[in-house]
Amino acid sequence: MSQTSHFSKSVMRIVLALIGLILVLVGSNTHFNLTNYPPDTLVTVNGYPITQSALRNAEKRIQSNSSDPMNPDDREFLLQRLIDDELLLQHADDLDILTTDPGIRKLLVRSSIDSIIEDSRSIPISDEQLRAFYEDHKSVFQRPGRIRLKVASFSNPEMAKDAREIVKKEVPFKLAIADTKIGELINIPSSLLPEHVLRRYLGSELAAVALSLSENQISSPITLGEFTYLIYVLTKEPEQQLSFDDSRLQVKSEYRSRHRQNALTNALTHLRKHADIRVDQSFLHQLAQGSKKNDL
Amino acid sequence: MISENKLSPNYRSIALLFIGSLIGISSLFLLPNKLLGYDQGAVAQINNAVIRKDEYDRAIALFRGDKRGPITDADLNLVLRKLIEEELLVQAALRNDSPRKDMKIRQRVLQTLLTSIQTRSAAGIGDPSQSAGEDLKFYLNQLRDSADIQMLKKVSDNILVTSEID
Repeated sequence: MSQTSHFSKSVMRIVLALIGLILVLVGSNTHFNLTNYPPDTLVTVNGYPITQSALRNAEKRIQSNSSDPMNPDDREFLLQRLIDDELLLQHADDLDILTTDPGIRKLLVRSSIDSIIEDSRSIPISDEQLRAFYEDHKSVFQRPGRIRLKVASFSNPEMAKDAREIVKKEVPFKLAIADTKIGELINIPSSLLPEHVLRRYLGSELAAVALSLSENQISSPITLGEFTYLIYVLTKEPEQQLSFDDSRLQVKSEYRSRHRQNALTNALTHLRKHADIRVDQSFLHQLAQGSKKNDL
Repeated sequence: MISENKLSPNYRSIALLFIGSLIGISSLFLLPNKLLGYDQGAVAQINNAVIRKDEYDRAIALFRGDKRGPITDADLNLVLRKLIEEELLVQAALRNDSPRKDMKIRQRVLQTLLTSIQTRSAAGIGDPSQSAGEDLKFYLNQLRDSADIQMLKKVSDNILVTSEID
């Protein structure tokens, strides 16, 4: 009986000691590094190795313009610098500088993205792949429709009507406007303009009217606010499908761009899948309610 | 009977210790959410990192500034998704040891820390009799004193290294 009791006490002590040890290990900040350092490790700093190749790289950076080897004293000094750097890096990590400094966070994000899309930069693309991509995404490789026009503004709608009648009698638009002495030509480039550029110059309403006109056609007077406008279309070039050969560079660039985007999306999906992510849904709900109130 | 009386307090103390240990272990699994800031204004937790509500509010304010129309629920979720993705990418870079391998990041981290030491020195927080350079030296010496620095190789083929660090 006494032997059994002694045995169970011993087992209990061992179990408690193990639990205590686990608690200490879990609670401490100690990083355990097994001694699987790279074979060319020169020094370890709190378990982190500084290798001979790291020292050589540092040497190359310092002596980038010199072919002479570094003397032993300088090399020793450089090693000390690498040890100091490592201590500072570890200290920065302890102080959470790596995760809280916005500039460093940006660089870390950039570095991750670069390593994810690295393959997309160098991946060889065959002609067949490019042609298949072109066929599947033909609409991307179209030259948008372009238009060349003149637009005049009038402070008096009646003068706009008169000017329109003059233009209809085959008087050049510019002369007809000058004849009214009130109308003014709006300053827009005289080259062919694609739709999105036209919108930027005229706004969406006038651009829509301009796009609905045919070549050599003049619009009816359009009154917007205090002014009335006349639009005269000089040239209209329809949307054009570019051939594969004409758009080869564009196809290649688009192919790489989509490849990069896919690589990033896949990597983020993978990271999400393997991360422990918890969201405070009740807060989001409150925020959504608050945001709606603010918008009202 | 006497022996039973002697043993029972021992058993009781062992049992109490055991219960205490169990509570300690279970608290390890229950506490992290609180310790990691859920009750300090965290809107999301990604592994060991949190996105605080004030960070989220700032991101929404920036988004609101760029958006013409009113903010929708989809916008709120989009902002949070972007913040989570940023955190995931930061963590991935740290796992890849980018602060050591990527020279741009390495220099930026070191520069940030050195600037903070110099600022501290300029503000007179350190020893006022020391210059910024001396302050840095003192700081590094302190780090060295508390560090475990071990020399594994003394001499290599073409690199001569002394046996002692300090």
